[in-house]
Amino acid sequence: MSEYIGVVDLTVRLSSMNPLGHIDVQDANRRFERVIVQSCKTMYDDAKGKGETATLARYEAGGIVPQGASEKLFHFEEYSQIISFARTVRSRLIAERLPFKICISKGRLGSGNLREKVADALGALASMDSDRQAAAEKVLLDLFNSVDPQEIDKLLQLYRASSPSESSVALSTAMEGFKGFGIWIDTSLLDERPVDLFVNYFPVRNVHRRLINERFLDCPFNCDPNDVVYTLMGDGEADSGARKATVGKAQVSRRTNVLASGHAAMIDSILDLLKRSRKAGEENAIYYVSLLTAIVRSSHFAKIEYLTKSKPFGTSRTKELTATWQNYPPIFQTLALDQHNRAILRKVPGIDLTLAAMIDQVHAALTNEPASSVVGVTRPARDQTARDFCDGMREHDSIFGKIVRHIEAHYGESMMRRIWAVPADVMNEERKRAMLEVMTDRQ
Amino acid sequence: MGFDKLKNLNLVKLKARERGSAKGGDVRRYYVTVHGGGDGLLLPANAGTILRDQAVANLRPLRVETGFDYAGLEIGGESLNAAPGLDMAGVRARMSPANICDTRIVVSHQAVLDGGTAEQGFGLVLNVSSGDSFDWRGGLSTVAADIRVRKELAGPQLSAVVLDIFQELMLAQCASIQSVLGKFTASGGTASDFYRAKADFANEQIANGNAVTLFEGYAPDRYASFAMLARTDFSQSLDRDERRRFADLWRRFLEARFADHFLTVDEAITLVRAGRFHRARPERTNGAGVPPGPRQIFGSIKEAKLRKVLGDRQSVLRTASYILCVLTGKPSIADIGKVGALFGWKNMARQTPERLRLCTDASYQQMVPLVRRGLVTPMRLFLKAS
Repeated sequence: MSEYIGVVDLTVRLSSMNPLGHIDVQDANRRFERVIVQSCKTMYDDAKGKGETATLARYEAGGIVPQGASEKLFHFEEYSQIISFARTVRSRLIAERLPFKICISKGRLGSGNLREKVADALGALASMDSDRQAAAEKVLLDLFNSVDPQEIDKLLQLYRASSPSESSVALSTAMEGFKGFGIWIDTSLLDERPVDLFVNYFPVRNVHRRLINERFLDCPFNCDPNDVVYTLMGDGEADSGARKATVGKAQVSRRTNVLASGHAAMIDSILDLLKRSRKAGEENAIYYVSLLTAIVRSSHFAKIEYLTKSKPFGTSRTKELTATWQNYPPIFQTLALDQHNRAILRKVPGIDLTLAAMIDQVHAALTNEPASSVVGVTRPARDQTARDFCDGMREHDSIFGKIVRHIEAHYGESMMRRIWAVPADVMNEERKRAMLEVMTDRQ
Repeated sequence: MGFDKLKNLNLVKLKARERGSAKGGDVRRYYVTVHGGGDGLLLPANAGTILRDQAVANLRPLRVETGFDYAGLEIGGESLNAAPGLDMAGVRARMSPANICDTRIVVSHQAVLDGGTAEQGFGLVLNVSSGDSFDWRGGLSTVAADIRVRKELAGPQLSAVVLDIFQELMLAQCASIQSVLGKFTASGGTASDFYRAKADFANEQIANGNAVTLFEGYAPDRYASFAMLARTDFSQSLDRDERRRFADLWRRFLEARFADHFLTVDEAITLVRAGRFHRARPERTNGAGVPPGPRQIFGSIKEAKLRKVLGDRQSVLRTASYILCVLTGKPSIADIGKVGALFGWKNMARQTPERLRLCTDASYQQMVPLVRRGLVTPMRLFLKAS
């Protein structure tokens, strides 16, 4: 039975990823520890509530977070448990506005410290088997430069650090290489339950300062189909005839509905961190791209529409939806509609990955096909009806065309060229063609 | 010109921002959100700012249309870990003590148990949890109401419920309503009596067919939200009709149950001159009338003039709710005629209008366009007939 291990750390300790002057490292560490402890409790209580006594016994025997002074290493026996833990930690750390990264892979953490590791070798010293004895001596000499048990005991009193296993060393290396916020999942987990996971990319500068995209697996946030934003017409001054003439269209007050239980609050936290990071250094915003992409991938785009004139809201007689974008997920507001955010996001290196993911997600939602980033799904060959439907997407007034043109208008043509160049599992070739056709088809 | 007096209007601006200062009393209203395992909280701990912005966006037009004021609250959340069978004592034990007396809502995946424990010191606790139906049930000992939202509609229903509770609170915190409630508590009434009266009134309105509820099962026992009764769908913004119903419920409730505690002329004068009200201002509001920012004290209004208006038995015919309109803006030449017609002239030759007028709900409708443009600041007053 394979075990799953993971590591989580704050990126505030890494100077390159630190939103400087925003986070007090002492305080951040305290809050970080609190989040991890509470998440452990959540896992424990969850298992307790479900009455899983075997799981509880395992938690009690092996712990959930057995190692780690600064970076916390955790281990679970089941895939669903480690994903649940990682997602719990993620949502809590985002709510605490602490930048972090989590890496997950298969493997074992290795047992305890050096003392336990060399216990076998020490035992073998006294054995009659000369081969075993020689092997043990080699190990001990290599480590301690001595085979005297008393000397070794003294040294182990001085050196008590926990020692890593092979897989936890690999995990630490992966975490060093992961230059983004969020969850990084090793490809070895792909064969477990690939449905949950999707391919994500984080942009990073290579030694020649060129932007390259690194592929990794990510897991999505909760996706609530009701988590959409709509804008209602302000009532203006309907009953005062005198002012009616001067109340032009521009004066109609708009109220945006933001669901508090959806992504809006989370995006708020992330953008706050992003802006502060950018203040410390323009390039720092690069680390947020993968997290924004993860939100795009967890958003519900199927309801999005563009109204050319206002229409009644639901069955209401008095409320009207404004003639504009309607029923879009909160991330669309952030990326495409909010001009303050757009001005900042435009300058984020690698933001083309997020925008491409959004176009891909819109196309997938409208055609009811899987997104390009879904792993382990083979796409069936298209039949004629599906192809006809896709042709419909390219028409001038289709919502897909509207979105592509909207992004082109606000991010510029060079951004579209960068979007065109993203890897195929951010946006597949067919959707790139659809995008290009929309762009060239100006009427 | 004749505007010297208007120019000299010296409105006392509060130096410290009202929000967050100790002056405004308990200004933070907390909710607790219970983490039930898995990904994400039902209501994120930092959703408070979004909720407050939405509540203020709803209450600003309400201020213009009905004269009711509101107090801008700072809303913050605290997240807790769920344990199987979490009860109110457990919630209390895990919260930081400073927030306990302000706590209004506990949001959780499962209903928080309330095992008949003694008073836990919370201001008011409403438990919102997700379940199979959309219900409002009376609470037990500490929880005033147990509200269930449908799991599949948790997004819209939950945020509507939570928003309404804060909206209700912000409206009830306004100086006019607080002045009546202050008299009520001074005469020995308790908050619990007030909440019970409110729930009672809500039940009565529904039974009479004066109000409808969106809840599938609705049985308020110790707390009712008028905002929730006013709404017709789960959208976060209220339209004109909903706002009117919302204000109307509050007005009728106070008139029906608290008429004994309405203000005398002297008390009303103190309220007008020392109470804090949002001033209607035209700038930066894009036609909305009320700007964001703290409430102001209108201490410059002369006591004698107020007494003349509020003590006038011909306008205060009965113990009821009235709206005092104060001319706080400078009308343009084009407007002066209309203002004069509504307020009356102090000196018609010099085109100087009166500054005060007491309106009823019906006559206030003429004032609404002027309020929207920031010329007039309305103050809702609950007056006793002398």
